[in-house]
Formats: sequence, C-alpha cells, structure tokens
Amino acid sequence: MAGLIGAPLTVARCLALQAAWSYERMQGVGMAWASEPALRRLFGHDPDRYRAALGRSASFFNANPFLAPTAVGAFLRAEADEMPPAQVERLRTALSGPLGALGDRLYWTGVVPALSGMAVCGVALGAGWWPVLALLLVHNSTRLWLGHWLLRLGWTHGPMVGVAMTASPLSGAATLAAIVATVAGTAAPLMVTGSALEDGSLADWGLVAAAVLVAVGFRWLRGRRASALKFTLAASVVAILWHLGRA
Amino acid sequence: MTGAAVLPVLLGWGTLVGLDLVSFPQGLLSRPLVAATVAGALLGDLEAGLRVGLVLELFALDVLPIGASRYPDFGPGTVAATVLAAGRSWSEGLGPAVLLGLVLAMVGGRSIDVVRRINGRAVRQSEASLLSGDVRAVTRLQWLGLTTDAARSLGLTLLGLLAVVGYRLVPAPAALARTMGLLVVAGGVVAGLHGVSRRSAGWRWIVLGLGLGGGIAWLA
Repeated sequence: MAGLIGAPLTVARCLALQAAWSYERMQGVGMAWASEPALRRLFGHDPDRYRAALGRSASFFNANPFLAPTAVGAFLRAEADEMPPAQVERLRTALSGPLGALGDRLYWTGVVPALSGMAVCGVALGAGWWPVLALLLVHNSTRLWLGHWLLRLGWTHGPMVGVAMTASPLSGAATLAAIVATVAGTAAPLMVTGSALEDGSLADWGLVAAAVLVAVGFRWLRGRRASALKFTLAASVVAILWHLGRA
Repeated sequence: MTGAAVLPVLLGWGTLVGLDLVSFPQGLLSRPLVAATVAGALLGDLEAGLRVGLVLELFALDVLPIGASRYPDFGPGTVAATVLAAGRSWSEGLGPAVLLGLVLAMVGGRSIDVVRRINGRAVRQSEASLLSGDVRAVTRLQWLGLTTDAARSLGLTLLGLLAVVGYRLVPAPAALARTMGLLVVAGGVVAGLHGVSRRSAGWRWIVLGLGLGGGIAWLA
C-alpha cells in the first residue's frame, strides 16, 4: 500500500473547506480543493483519470469541517484503489451524516464551549490575556494534529473508515457534555462577580432584577423561536423607549 | 497604537475574524473573547476587550454554527463593540458596546446567507467545468468565496465603526447606559447557561458548576 504523499498540504487546504460553501454543493468545492494536490500526485500521469476524480470530488458533500479530513482520506483511497464511481459517490454520502453528527457533538457542543468556558473562567479570575492565548494554542494545535491523524485514518482504511472511527476514542465525545456544563456553570458567577461588575458600578439589586426579567421573559418566549440574544435586544429596546418617554 | 494608524489594523482584524467563522481557518479567532481581546490590545485598552469579550462570549455559547443553519457572526461586531467600550467607564460603556456587538452579530448572520447565495450562483455557472474536473474552476470558486466573505467581513466592521462614530456624537444618557449594562450581563448569563443546558448533560452539572463558580468568586 503506497503512502499518501503531500498530507500536510491536504490538511492545510482542509482549513478552507468551506470557503466556497453554497446551498447547492455545500462543502463539495472545498473537498475538491483539498483533494486536488493528492489527486495530482496520484494521477498526474493520467490526465483523464485525474479530471474524472476531481470532478467527482467536487460533488455535494457536507460534514463537520474539523472531521472532514477523514472523508478526504477515504475518498483518495477509494480513487487510488480504482473503486467504481458509483461506489465512491455512495462512500461520500455514507460518510457525510456520521462525520457531521459526531463532529458537531465533539466540537461545537464539546471542545469549543469547554475551551471558551475555561478561558472565560481564567479571564474572570484575573489571568489577563493568557487564557485567550491558551485557548487559541490548544484548539489550533490539536485541530491540526487531529486533521493529519484523520486524513491518515481515512487513507489507511478507505471504505472501512467508519468502523475505524467507531473504534477510536472520538466516539466517546458525549462524555465532554458534563465537562462543558460544569465549566459553563462555573463561568457564569465568575463573569458576573469578577469582571463585568468589578468596579461595583453595576453590582446591585438591579442586576438581580434584570437577570430575573430576562430569564422569566425568555423562558416564556422559548416556544416561539426566541433566543436569549433576541430577547436581550428586545428588552433593551423597551428600556430605550422607556428612557426616551421619561426624558 | 492610537489615532488613524489603528483604523486600518482594526479593519484588517475585523476582516480576519469574519473570515475565520466559516471560510478560513476556523481557528476560533472569531470567538468574541479572542476578537475583543486582540482589539482591546490594539486600542491600548486590554481591559475593555476582555470585559466586552467575556459578555459576548456567553452569548456565543448559545449558538451552534452548523451546516446550512443561520447563526450570528460575532467577530466583526465584537471588534466594533470593543472600540465603543475603550476608554469609557464600565457603567457607561459595557451595555451600549455589547448591544452594538449583538446587533452586528445578527446583521452578520444575515450577510453570511448573502455570501452563500453568491457562491451558489457562481457554482451553477461553473457546473459544466466542475463536472469535467477543471481545476481552474475549483480554484476560481474557492478564491471567489474567500474574497466575497472578506468583503462581507470588512463591510461589517466598517459598519460597526461608523456606528461607534454615531454613538460618540449622540451617547446614551448614563442611566440608560447603566440599564443596558444590567440587561446585557443578565442576558449573557441566561444565554450561556441556556445554550449549554439544551445540548449537554443537563442542569445537575450546570448547578454543580454554579456552586463551584460561586464558591471561587466568594473566596476570591
């Protein structure tokens, strides 16, 4: 089995996987962009095969961008092994859903809120900008390492990469949920007492009243597609109108 | 960095954090805490950046930026919010700054949809080239997407900075600014806890965290 040449360039191009995101092909064009250097190395001697594989790589694809290198690796393996085009297409479709679900759970509801919650705690405790730097370093170094590892995983296992993913530690991402919840809970009082209200200018019963107002109002509106962001904006508009009325 | 020299740097930073959210490189530069901290450092008021970033970060915890869903873009708005907050006292600056950041985040979310439609039109026009495996079409579409998103982010940052200029001409009265401050801090806490509770292990872990955070805050 030949190794995958040019993996660092492929991983680097995966960072722009969503640059040409559209409702028609979603990440399809980005997949082609990421796969292109490896396809050129694999089929540079055969222009027809290279163009056919590149054309297939640009078709519809959508997954979590952080785990997408897995699909890139598996797709390249399938093309290198001369899998029939219909099977390559089925492989892409089959990988799209699981990589999206697992990646979103791992990153958007796990790693990212956990890291940002920890950074909020650190900043609120007076650590300055160091927690922010740590957030960037930890996220980006692990992401690049993971991208390289996932690309290799996809390349090594090809169509069987789903089985390899299931056996990997990534499938245990659900355990992050408890960490995220605890960190977010810890961050809230630290943010209120340690930072925004540090000079005492806002720290009085007004804050408690505002919190209760926002929480109760938001709870009441929840079933009507409201978000805390929209509710805060609406409450602020009411406050502005009230102040204008008094002036 | 002060005066006119900081303006292009802020515009560049706003553009970069806007690009980071979806297009490139998704390195968490667009998180409000990061965007605001760097903007605060550029303005020579790191504290302003850290505090605006903290509140907006809690709002960002309520957002799940996945696939075709619409979600706010906090990055460029956070840069403008930090500019508004810099050099002001907290009771005067925090509320209006965070509110500006929230409004721009929603506008930014809408603008992402526009970029996606522009990309879609370009993809439809290049359908034949893509099917035939034309590498130039792939490269052109990638660069078009990046350029369009960069222009969107730059425009959003510029809009935010213009709003800051407007606010300096007509600032909110002190009592109103203070009320806004209370609302955004309360809203941030509700947003952060709600965002985590609806897609994580549930309230028992959050309550554990609240107790832990409350204890640390009391000891500190």
